[in-house]
Amino acid sequence: MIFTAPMFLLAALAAAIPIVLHMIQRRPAKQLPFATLRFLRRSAEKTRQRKRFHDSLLMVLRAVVLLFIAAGLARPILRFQGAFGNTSHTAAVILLDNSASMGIADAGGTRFEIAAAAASQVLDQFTDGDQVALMPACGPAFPQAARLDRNQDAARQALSQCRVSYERANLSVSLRQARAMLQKSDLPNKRIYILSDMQQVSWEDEKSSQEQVGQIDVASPLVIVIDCQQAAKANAAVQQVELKSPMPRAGTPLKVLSTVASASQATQQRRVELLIDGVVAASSNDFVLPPDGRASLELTITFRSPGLHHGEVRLVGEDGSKFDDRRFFAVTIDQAVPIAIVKNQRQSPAYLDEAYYLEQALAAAGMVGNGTGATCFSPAELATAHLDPFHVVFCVNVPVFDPETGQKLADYIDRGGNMIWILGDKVDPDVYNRMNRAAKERLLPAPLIDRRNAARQQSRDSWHISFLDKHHRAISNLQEPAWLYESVLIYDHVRCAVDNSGALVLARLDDGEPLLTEKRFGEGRSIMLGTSLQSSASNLSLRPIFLPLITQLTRYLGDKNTGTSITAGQPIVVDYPRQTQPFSIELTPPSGEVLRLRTSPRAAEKGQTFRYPETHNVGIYTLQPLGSPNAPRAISVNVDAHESDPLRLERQQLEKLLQPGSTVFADKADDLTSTFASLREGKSLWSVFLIGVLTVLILETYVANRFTARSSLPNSLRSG
Amino acid sequence: MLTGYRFLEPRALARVKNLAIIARGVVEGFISGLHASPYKGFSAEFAEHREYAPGDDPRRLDYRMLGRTDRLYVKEYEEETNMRVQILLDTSGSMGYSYDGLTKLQYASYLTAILAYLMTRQQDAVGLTTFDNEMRLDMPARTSPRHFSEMMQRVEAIVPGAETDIAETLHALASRFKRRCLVVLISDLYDEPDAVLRALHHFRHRHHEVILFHVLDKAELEFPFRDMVSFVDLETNERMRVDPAYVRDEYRSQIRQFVEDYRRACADAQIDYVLADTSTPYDFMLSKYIAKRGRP
Repeated sequence: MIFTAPMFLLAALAAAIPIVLHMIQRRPAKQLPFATLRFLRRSAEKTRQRKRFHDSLLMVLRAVVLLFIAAGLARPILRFQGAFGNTSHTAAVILLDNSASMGIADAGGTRFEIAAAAASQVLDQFTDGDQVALMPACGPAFPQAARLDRNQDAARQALSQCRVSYERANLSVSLRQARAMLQKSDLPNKRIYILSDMQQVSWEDEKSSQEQVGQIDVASPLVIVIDCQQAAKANAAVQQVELKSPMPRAGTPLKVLSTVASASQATQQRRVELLIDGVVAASSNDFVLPPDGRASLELTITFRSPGLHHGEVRLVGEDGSKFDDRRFFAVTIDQAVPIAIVKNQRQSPAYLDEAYYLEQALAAAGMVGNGTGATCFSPAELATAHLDPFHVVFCVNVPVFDPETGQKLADYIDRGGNMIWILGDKVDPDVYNRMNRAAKERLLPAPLIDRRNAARQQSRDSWHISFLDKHHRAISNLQEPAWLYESVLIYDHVRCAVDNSGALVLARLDDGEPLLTEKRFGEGRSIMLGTSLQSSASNLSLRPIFLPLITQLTRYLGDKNTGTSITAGQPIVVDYPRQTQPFSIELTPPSGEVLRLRTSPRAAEKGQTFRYPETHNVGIYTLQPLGSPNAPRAISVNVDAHESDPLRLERQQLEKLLQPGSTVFADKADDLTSTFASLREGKSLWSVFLIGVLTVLILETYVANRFTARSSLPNSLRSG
Repeated sequence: MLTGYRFLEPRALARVKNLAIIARGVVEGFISGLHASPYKGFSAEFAEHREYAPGDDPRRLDYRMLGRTDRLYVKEYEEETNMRVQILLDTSGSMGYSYDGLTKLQYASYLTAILAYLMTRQQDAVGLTTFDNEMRLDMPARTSPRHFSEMMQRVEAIVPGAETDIAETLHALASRFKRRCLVVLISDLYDEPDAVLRALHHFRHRHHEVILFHVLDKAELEFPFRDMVSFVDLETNERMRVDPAYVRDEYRSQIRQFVEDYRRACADAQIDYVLADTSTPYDFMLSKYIAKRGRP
């Protein structure tokens, strides 16, 4: 703060007047007779302290009034750090928030349009010699504009090309980059302009880092915040889409659950449509969305053809923003999972075969393709079989593998393969433990203990399943009621020691023994079922839970990447752990343009990885591996649901996050003239002092009259 | 006859003379029909017979008339015994205070005159005692108009005196009054309250009825002073510099407590307490009090 007429500060000496008067003044008193002084004496004694305080308070208030008047007359001006009205050049970074929420249309146009117009005003105020950089918060980068340059044309050009993205802004990161950029500049004046709608989610990182490391260093440049949000219109967003089916099949109804949330204080009547491959397949009834409320909608569709399909849930009608009215998903119908089954010599009749019920279940679920069935190996054939093409290998009641085959299976799992061990009557726990140890304990989820048979137990003739871990992703989609899996009876099973093994227990028997366990090794997983599928060992294969359980486990292991969804701006990253050599992938983004890109070796791990960072548009991105047995994938890219969140960061909160004292908030985003003027000339504070004078005068009047107010005589003292 | 006196304003008497004082206790010498007296009917002159009505005292039945006429008659008497009233008037220096208008002593003198007139008119014996720190005037109770005239002349001549010593005077008087009487104390009570109350209890102990008129100026109650004032004590000439704005609330609280203490203590001792604010017309105050006293 500086004073442009400092001579008036001499008037502050007048503040001494009340103090001097207080010290020397003895007010004249007229003499009056009084009946008795006895009550006056006591009253004066009791009120002496209060009188002293009151007199001192009045003295201070009067001195403050005179001080404020003197300070106001001296024309005080508040100038911000780095904003002096000198002729020095300025280095400035313009942070332009172009996140999805900036596409919301407020009363005066979209927020981005307001921000772009404000950015143009900011650019206009710079003169030759000033360094300017323009950094959009998200979307495609503008490398020419994103560095400090005396040539401001690059910034203007970037501004003209910049569009609202579907991404979520991280203004904290952008702010740190801007500060780092300005630190390298040797110009004396440094400023950062932030043009944003002040959405709270854009500053989440700054909040957390502030909590961890405290305030920013004092040498931070001046930050000018231009709030581009105006009165918001009613808005609703499709926030979530979920498919409710363990394995979608052609001809089978598929439930699509979507959540629509209101992002405004207005009640809205809306309707959603479900589009499959660009065609409206289902539509909801009109529903009422209360302020800040949610609606869960269930639409059902039946796919007629197998393969990969693109889906979209869309809100019908217009609202404040279009970007959050759509949500995409991909679904593969009748997905065939390459499966191998290792089993002993085939038995006859077929139902006596140990893998008979397994094969039937996989075929019924369509997991093994259109009538092609699973590939079956004998233990001997496994030694020479090429396992990499198979996503899941079932090992059904195989008595023993030679050490080389055991090592081969361990390597297969380590590269991303998945094993399901089914322990029948031919499995000897000691033999399996030896085989597991030979493979460095990378085959079985847990060491085996012994075999138990209910017929040999005195107290019971069977065990039943009493616990399924529904929180585990492998079986979380099981909709079957508890009584269904509790009806599964086990007569013979192999116990295992899960303690300290790192294995997860997916199912337990009623006496607490684990029945279904899982452990991850390298890129793959190993799941172990402690009993056989034969009816002599359990009735599992005959119970209705068997098919969905096998389907869920197979899908969990073999189809983990189907229907992946990411938010706009996140890179698409797909690992191919079983591929040793780079290969090409045809990527088709929502624009329809086909891009042929190569995979690259994974860092420090086996296999290949595919990375594509340019996910600026929302929609379905399909990946078709070329010259590779890997199946095509579809990745849905959606706008971040948080972008619809209307929660704002208020000025005080933002000032606290940035740096108090070096943050300026523009009065109006559409007219920055007064903001620039105050930056050049400083903010006059005389009105502040005037308000101070008036306030203190009111206070003085109140205090002065506090003890002189006349009150009426109480009724009890009325005569008579 | 009475209109020539300075303290008896006809306007005031016009409002008060039709009211009567109704004592609550058993006091000798009360006016017939209005006062309950242990000496009722004793040494009084017969006036007439009246037919007995339900509620009449059966002891007043005339059995001779009953024997002669076979009808019930009661005897009516012209007058019965008289009440003795002693007015005690405080003439200390503090009673000379006046903020605007009558001094407290002037107000008390009016009150004395009115009471004396009423009593005399009812044929009650009225006496007057004035005092400050000692007894200044002592007129025993009599009923004659001449006595009343003399009393009024004395009252006119009263001037404020020295410091107050109410308690000592009251004790002396209480010991002196042999017959039961009505004691009317008119004072600002600027003495030690405990001592004054003990003295009033002394009267009650001797079966005297007591009425206390607490005379205060309105300024003493409200303390309306604004600017810095140097107050001079009327009794001691002591001076005290005070900013009224600061002490007003506390002063009011003190005086309120002072009055309330007396009011409560008098109620406990069955003494009629009347706060007489000098801004209130004394006749209004008195008629209000008498009306209140007459309520059952």
